[in-house]
Amino acid sequence: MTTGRTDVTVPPPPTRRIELTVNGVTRTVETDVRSTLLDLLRESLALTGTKKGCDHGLCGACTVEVDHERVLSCLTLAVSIDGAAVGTVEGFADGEHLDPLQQAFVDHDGFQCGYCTPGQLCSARAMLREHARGDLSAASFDPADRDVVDGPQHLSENEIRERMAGNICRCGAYANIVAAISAVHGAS
Amino acid sequence: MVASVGLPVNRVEGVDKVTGKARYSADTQVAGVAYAALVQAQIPHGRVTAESVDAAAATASAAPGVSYVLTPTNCPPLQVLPKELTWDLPLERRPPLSDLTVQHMGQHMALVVADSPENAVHAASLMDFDYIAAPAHLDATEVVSGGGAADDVDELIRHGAYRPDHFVKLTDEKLQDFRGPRGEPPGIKVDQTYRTAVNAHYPIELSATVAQWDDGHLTVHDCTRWITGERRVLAAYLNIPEERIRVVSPLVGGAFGSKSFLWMHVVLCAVAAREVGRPVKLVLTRDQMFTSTGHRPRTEQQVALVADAAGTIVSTEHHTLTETSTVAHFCEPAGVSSRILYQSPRLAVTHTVARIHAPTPCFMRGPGEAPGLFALEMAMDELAYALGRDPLALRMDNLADVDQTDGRPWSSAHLARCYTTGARRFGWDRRPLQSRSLQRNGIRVGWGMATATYPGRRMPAACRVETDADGHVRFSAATHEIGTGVRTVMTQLAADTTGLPLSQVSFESGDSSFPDAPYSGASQTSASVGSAVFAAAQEWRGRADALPATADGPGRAAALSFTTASGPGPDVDTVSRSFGAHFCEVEVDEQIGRATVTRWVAVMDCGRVLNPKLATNQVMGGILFGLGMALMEQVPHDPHTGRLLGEYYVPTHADRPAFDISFVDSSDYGLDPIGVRGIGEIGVCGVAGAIANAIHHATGKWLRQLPITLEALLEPRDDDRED
Amino acid sequence: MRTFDHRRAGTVDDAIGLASVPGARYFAGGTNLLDLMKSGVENPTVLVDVNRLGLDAVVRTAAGGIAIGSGVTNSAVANHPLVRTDYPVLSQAILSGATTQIRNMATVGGNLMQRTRCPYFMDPRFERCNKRYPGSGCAARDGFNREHAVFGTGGPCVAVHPSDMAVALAALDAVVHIKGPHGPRAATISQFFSPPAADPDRDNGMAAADFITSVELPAAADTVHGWYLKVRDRRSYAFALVSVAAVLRFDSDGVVASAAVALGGVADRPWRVPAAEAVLTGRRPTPQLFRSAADTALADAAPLSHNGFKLPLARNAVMRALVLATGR
Repeated sequence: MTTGRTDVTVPPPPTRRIELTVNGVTRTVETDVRSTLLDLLRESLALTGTKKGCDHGLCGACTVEVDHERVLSCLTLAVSIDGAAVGTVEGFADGEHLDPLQQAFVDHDGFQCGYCTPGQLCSARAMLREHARGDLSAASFDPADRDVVDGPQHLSENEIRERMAGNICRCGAYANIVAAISAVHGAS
Repeated sequence: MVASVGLPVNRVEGVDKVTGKARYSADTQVAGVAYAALVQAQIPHGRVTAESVDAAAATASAAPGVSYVLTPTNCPPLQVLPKELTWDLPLERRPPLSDLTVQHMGQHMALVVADSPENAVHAASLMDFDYIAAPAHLDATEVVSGGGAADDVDELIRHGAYRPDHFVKLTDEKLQDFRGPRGEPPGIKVDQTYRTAVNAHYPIELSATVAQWDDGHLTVHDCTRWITGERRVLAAYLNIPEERIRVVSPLVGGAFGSKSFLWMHVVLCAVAAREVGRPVKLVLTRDQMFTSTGHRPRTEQQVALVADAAGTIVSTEHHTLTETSTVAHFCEPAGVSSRILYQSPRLAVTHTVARIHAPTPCFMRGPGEAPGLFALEMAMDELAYALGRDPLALRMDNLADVDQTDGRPWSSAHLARCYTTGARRFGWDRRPLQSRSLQRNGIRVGWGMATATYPGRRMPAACRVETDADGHVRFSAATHEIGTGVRTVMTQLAADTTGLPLSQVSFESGDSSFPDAPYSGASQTSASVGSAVFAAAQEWRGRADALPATADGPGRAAALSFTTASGPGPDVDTVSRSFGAHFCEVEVDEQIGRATVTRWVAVMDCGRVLNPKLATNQVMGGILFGLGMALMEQVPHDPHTGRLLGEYYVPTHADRPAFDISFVDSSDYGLDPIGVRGIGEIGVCGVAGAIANAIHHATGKWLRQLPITLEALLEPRDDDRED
Repeated sequence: MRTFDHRRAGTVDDAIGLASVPGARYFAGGTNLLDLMKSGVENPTVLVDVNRLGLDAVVRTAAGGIAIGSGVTNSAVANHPLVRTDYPVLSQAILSGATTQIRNMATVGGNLMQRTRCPYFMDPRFERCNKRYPGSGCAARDGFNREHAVFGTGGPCVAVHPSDMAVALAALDAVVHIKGPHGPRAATISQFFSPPAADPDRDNGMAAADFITSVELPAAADTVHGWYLKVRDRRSYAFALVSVAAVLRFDSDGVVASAAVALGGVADRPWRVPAAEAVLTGRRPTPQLFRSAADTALADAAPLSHNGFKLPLARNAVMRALVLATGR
């Protein structure tokens, strides 16, 4: 069990100055060394689009892109990614013009409460890029369907579901999310 | 002009949700906010010493960045809630931090306020209390069989078991109900016990509160789905007039039955904000969500069905044992559907609630129906097999034309059509009766079905109309957008009824400064708020038509701005109830204990469908909720300490079936003038039963305990197999 | 979370030097360590950040195998052309673990070093945990132990190692290259997971400040049939209850020339089953042979009060994995 400290003077936790390029804009932040990227985005930069669903890597709501790969911001130590490029949901749209994925989510009703949606979008966008460069998933090894060396040419529904399995939607809009992603994938 | 009701209009807040502009409570931007973290009890029953509380508070206060520590020894006294204010809902009358006893694991023991989330969490982790544990009642059966004498400690802490008369304030929803002959008649009988586990709502949004005082006025941003109630209860706890409190909840990231009542942490956040003189933000951790915002309690249900040789049910018994905390009342009304769903001249329904040292449970999507229909629908299948009959045919032969509890007919009911349509879409007529007769690639396949039902409910609501000089009309009510799409369908309804285009109408929710609305739950919002919106829109149309053509902008706007109210619904000779049918296929790989739900057909009779895109999404979500309940959801805990352990699994993208969801879409004007009956919960009703029935069809096993685990599905030894 | 010093290492020797103080921990992806720091299980005073050491390549070795830098992410390993072509079972195992987001962050070194997911270990409020406090007891042994070991259960700790990657590495006879304060060394997977004494608070044979630099795989045989089967409580995004990595090589007559079978979710390390492998070697693949091998694999299992189901499950999973590996 942790025991309480009895020091009268406790040195303040160290902070660090780090630089992150968030949605193309370079920001300098004085951050608590313990801070996660998630808390930094939400509390220091007022970018509240990215959501906290569990803070322990169990739900995917906090998914963002760091150096163009999708990651969990709740398990990303901010000081560790000093200098990195960060992409959040706020960076998707071009002014009033929605990204095709965003529009597809709206049209296919890919959400209900909308809380997991930023994470779903960041995940989906990265996922489509991963597929385009030939990445695999566990579903690529399904006994009936094994494109292991080259990767599956087209994303089946099964593939999309496995690749998106790290984003939990308690409202259960999964089928519509996949429909939205499929539509964008098919159109590309 | 084309009517929009009945069309798949996109959600009005959809663009906000996909751009990150949508604001939930934790996103509230308030200058100078301080951060709070909760400290919760680590034993199920006992007390803490005042000395250790003060020592822990001193330790935490000395930690970096801490401005205040709220504990039972320094918390300003909060009022005990008056009895009538609990509305028979699971509200704890005993204020938080009001004594040194511990009534359940996770009870709030302190609140730390600091200048950053990291400092608040760290300081909270330093607080060690000396717990003096007392024997804890953790098991309902043990309480009922005499483990705990019934008593009242100031009526705020209670022990023992009791039998509530009815469900919340709904006197018609009797929890102890008998009809017909005393003795059970002879016939073909099924008598089994079904068990469901503790389930958590698990909304992805963590409960978050931002409390701010300004000259004696309190503004609370909270992800509540009951703004009106929360305001009233906060006022009671804090002993200040309601008018001095504003509650704001524009978007809620999923509720499913939680987030509606005033959970203790909200008032603690308000108290802390008052003490530190700064706005305070509190976000619960995921672990805290299991003990701080309610859950579905365990049930143990004994169901006995008797039918004559022709398959006509002659007797139904449904006896439920469930649990609540020692500090609030809640009864999971598992037997309510059995009172009405299938015709049965003899009925005995009872509910016994045992008070245990666990957190207070509350409504969870389909309260009563979800676990109760699991038991009833499994029992119906067991009866069908005992009779050698098709499970669907047995149900169709026992439909009730009237509400058997009072003899009134349904205002509109199309259950038979749900059955036949669903069966056709699924291909049920190709189902062999014999279990273990279907397989695919060496894996067992089963087809199961179940009935869904949920009452049509309606409560009073009000609606304000504000017309701008430019002609835009804003409707508003203190209801809540929790993902059901209320803002969208109300906009559609208002547009159609006023005759205005959608672009000229909007519907706002989520603020106590809007007219009162009931809690967003019980599938009642469309009927309740919808009736108010409908009345307001009709009023608007009437006033607009009566205005002289010469009325100027501001004059016209003033004339077309007002507030209306609507009541609890007409006093009619009929009963409004929704019905539906679920059909599913489940593959069971017995070698590795894996059940896969492959496809699902659901046909729902929910009255008029205001927006088929949103309605389908709701039903789909409900089915997934039931799938989780059936196959994976339980709160794992250490048997010795009751402490939560490990992870709570909910379905992922990879776990869901292919869906075929359709609606009968027949308006029912018995409940409200719009023709709706609500769709938020009916999707989950019957799902677990359908899955269990499909698993029986696949394996020959009746698995009567939820969740159905891998162990239960693993290929049994021959001598262990039951059939 | 307690505060800490965050130091970024420029070279491996740098890192080892920085890590040679009490309370120091290497920090790579952070997907396990940061999680445990939030829960108060790990309380490092110094985080030695090893994310930019340049150990992020997968290269062909002179022996015809591959060397995977310890800094390569799980995703990068799973998707690397050399791995997909020559060691697809490794790709499949990695892709069965966690989620893409986590695999994009987690490194090879971190994956091996990750700590158990035993819920009693992960919650410091449980006082009886021999891994956190040697000698305090084991709350899992008489508690909720459904997800715990069935091998090696006679000792002070019955938790399992959660890595999928490690199970495949065990079946592939991987070698872990380590550099420490006293110089470099190499360890088989079995050696890696063996602490010097039976100290449950040590997960593996790594001494303080020891650093994994790379993982090496021997040359893959020409026709390698491999499969990774993972059984869990939901379709994805869950740890293994039981998993099996099966790698078979057949000669030109269709006889098993060599077999490697490793189990996950059943012990504190990937569990190779040489006796079962011996049953398979030199025989033709038949259902009866696979059943015999599976029975042999589980012969010494000693389950706990709540995980007896793992025995039939593991037996069936071994058979299934062998069938799938053969058919590949």
